[in-house]
Amino acid sequence: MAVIRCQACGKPNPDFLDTCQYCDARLKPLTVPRSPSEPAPAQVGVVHCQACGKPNPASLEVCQFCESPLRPLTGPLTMPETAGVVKCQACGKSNPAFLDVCQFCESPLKPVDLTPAAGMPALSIPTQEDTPAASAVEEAPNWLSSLRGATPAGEPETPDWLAGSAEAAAPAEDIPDWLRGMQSATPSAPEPEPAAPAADVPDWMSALRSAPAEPATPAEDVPDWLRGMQRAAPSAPEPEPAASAADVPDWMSALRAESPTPAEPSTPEPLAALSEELPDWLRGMQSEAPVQPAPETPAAAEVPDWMSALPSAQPESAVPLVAAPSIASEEETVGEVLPPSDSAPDWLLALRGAAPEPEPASPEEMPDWLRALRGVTPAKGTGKTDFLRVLQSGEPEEAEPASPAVLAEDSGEGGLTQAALPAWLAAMRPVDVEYTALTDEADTYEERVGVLAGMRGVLRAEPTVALPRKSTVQVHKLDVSEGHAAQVKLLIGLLTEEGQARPAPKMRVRFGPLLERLIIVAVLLTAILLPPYLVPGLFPPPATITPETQAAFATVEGLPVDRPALVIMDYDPSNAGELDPAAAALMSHLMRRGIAVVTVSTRPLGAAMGDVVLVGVTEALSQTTGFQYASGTHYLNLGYLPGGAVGIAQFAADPRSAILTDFAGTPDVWAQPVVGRVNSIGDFGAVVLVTASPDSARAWIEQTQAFAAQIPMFAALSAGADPLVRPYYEGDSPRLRGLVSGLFAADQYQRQAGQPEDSTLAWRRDMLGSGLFAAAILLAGGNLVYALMGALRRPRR
Amino acid sequence: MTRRLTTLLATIIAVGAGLVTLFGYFLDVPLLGTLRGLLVGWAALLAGVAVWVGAINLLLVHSKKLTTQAPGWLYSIFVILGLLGVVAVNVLAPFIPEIGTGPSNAANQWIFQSLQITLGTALAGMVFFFLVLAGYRLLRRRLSVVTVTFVIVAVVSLVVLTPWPPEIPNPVLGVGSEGGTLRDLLRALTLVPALAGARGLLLGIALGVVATGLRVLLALDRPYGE
Repeated sequence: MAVIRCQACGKPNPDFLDTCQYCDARLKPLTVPRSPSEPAPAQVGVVHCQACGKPNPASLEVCQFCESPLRPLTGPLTMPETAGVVKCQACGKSNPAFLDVCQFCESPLKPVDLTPAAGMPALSIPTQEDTPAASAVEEAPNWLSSLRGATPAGEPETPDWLAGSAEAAAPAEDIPDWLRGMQSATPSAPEPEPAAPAADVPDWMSALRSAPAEPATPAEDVPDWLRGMQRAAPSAPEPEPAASAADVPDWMSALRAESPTPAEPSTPEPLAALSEELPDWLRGMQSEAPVQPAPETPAAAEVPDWMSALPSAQPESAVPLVAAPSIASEEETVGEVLPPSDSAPDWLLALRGAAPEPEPASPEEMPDWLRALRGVTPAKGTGKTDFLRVLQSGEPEEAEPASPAVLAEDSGEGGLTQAALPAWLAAMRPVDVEYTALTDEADTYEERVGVLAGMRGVLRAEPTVALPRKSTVQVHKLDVSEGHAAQVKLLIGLLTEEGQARPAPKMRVRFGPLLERLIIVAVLLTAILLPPYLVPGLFPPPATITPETQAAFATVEGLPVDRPALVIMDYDPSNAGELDPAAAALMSHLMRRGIAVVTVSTRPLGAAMGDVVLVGVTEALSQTTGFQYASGTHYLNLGYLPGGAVGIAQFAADPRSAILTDFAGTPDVWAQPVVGRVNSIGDFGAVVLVTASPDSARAWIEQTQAFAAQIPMFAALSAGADPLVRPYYEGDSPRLRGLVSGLFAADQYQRQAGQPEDSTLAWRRDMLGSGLFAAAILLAGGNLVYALMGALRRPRR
Repeated sequence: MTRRLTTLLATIIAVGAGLVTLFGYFLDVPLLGTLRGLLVGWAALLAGVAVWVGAINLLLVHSKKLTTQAPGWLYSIFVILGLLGVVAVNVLAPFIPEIGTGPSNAANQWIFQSLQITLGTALAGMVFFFLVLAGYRLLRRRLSVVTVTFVIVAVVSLVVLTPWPPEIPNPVLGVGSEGGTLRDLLRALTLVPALAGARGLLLGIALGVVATGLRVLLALDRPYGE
């Protein structure tokens, strides 16, 4: 079987497949359908069965649909025998060679042993030595073998039943009539005289018996195909046929013609004795058995398919004739013995060769096979098949088997329509294969450089292969369906919604907390606003002074007057209410003592605060003392010092490089008399830190430590910054020599310095005192109530 | 490679400047003092520039909020107008002799005293109300030892800070000159724990500054290279 390799997967497939059995790829190119009138071309490797017309692979011997032989028989009817396979002649099925009986129909597969028993005359059945094709004898069907056993040939093997009858043949009365007739019908018996009287012999047996006496059938009466088969027989001594070939069916005639025909007659006596035992109907038939005239050529009948599948019986010298002689002799006998009878069935009449019947049915009414058996020549041209015409014409056909195309064409012309193939079988049907010339895959590249120069088929690193490049095939082709688009839209919507600011849920205003809040605010406002008006002087000025405030006062008192004091104003307007009185008290004290005041701030707003306080103090002092304080001479505001801690460090090390202009915008600030002798922070007489930020206080304390360790430093702080700055005051060697913390300390300092009391300071003292007192009461009272409520609710839970 | 060189160069500059400044404090070497002053001056100058950068950034941020109408864009109008107004006043001040020159001109003084001091003080006064209201409901939210302690300390501190009215008795605790009044006792109870806590905090800050400075000087921390 040819193999077609799939171009898709490369796997082998049988050539009759259209599609690959592995990947379903098409194996053969599609061909343009032909027109109905155009004959189908012969397919390579396809043989159409002559019986059913269906295609089969050329490798098959038998049709895979109807089991008819596909190849034309090149010789006479030989059973196809393959190695170890014996085909049953009865059912036609294959059997293993070692079987004696067909496994399908239990027919004997091997020739019947016709060895006669003791005392029995040997039947004349040609042996293997007599026939060149002895193997065919073994393949003869059992019924043929049984018939063959009736021949007078000296066959050593005899079937049991025949042997038994042969042994019992001595008493002629025990032999049935039909067997007796058969005995007498042996054509080649050496003793032509029948052992039994003719009256005891049925007619058909008589006919059989008399058949050997008849001359041989003239050659013209033999059909051509039979003649051809006769010619195919070996040149053994051919006996005279006892009966005309027209009385024998075609296939038997063919078998007979091919037989070597030693024509050894069987012993007629036992058969004659048997004639008495014949049944009536058989006896009637025997009596009516006439001498069969030579029939006409059995033509003009339609033959069955299996017959038509057979090729013309053109003998071929290479193929020996098998088993035909014995069969032919037996047919002759039967044809001569069987008498015609009206009561006989048709098939029996046909077997008898009912030619002498006066009024047979018209040939047109006869079935074809019967006409063929009777040798009735139908009307010319009626119902003749081709092969019959060929046989009739006597022209041997060519021994060469017809090509499948021709066979297919013949089957179509003979009126036999080709059955439609089922789909599954059509898929297995081989189709036209157009073999395209494949290009040679051999690499013809020849290396030209290097040590491999001159060699072919070497691997080479082409730039297109070695260098990476972007594939031109768009691998990732995004196919967005509507479902995908909807999901993307939903995702975008979710992400967008997350990014958007959601409106705050409306808070349910609860009346209780709101009322509570309003009550607290009202209490605080009342406590802050009412005392200055309703109870003025509720909080009297302090009668005592704290030690740290006193230390600050003492420090100022000890400062030299020839060196300016640096006042650092590091607080914002939010702390002005608490720190302005302290800053003003300190500045006023300094300036009263004749110490020049220089302010600076590390906060942008602190510089402005210092300017405000400084201007206010000088104006107040000018009013009280009548002395005119001038900027640059008695005081100076250096303004903003940027840089935080770094700026402080720079200012402490080199104030002239840190400050270029004062707060008023004076270009040459260090040329002014108040700071004319100041080159570092150590040149100031004191450093006064006014701040509300512990960090600012810590930065000034730390950064000026290296340059102003000997000069006094004290601070005016807010009450909130006091705890974190106080450590620099309380210690073994405190950096700060005094503290003025909060509004009340400023009041103490002012009173200690003998400064006139500010009119607003009493208001501030009352408002701050009542406000803090109210806050303390609210905190204590409110938390006490909530603590009790919580304690009461807890056991309930 | 370039990135590594840049990082290495930055590390060398930072460590070198730090060591020069540090040794300038401990060693009386004129060169080190000069270098230290130079480096500190550069740092202060950069800090001054940062103020300008901050002002410009403030203007851009609020301008963006205004253009995009982000939440609170209405307040950005006042911020921008205030900034541009102050800048305009100070730009025009030299050309108006009555106003004066420099930051202490009359216009700046009026803006500062009329707006900033007033608003700043008002905001600080509102903080008082907020703190009192929050402290009033503290135990309602959470009743624990910490919250109770906090409330007690807050109340005592307020009492200590408040001028002691003469109508409220202030008994003398102790004997003779060594004794003190009740207000002195409360003041001591407030200041001693506060002072202890403040000192611990300051010590921690100092240790942290030293550790951070050493790590920067040893190039273990390179905030400049990030």
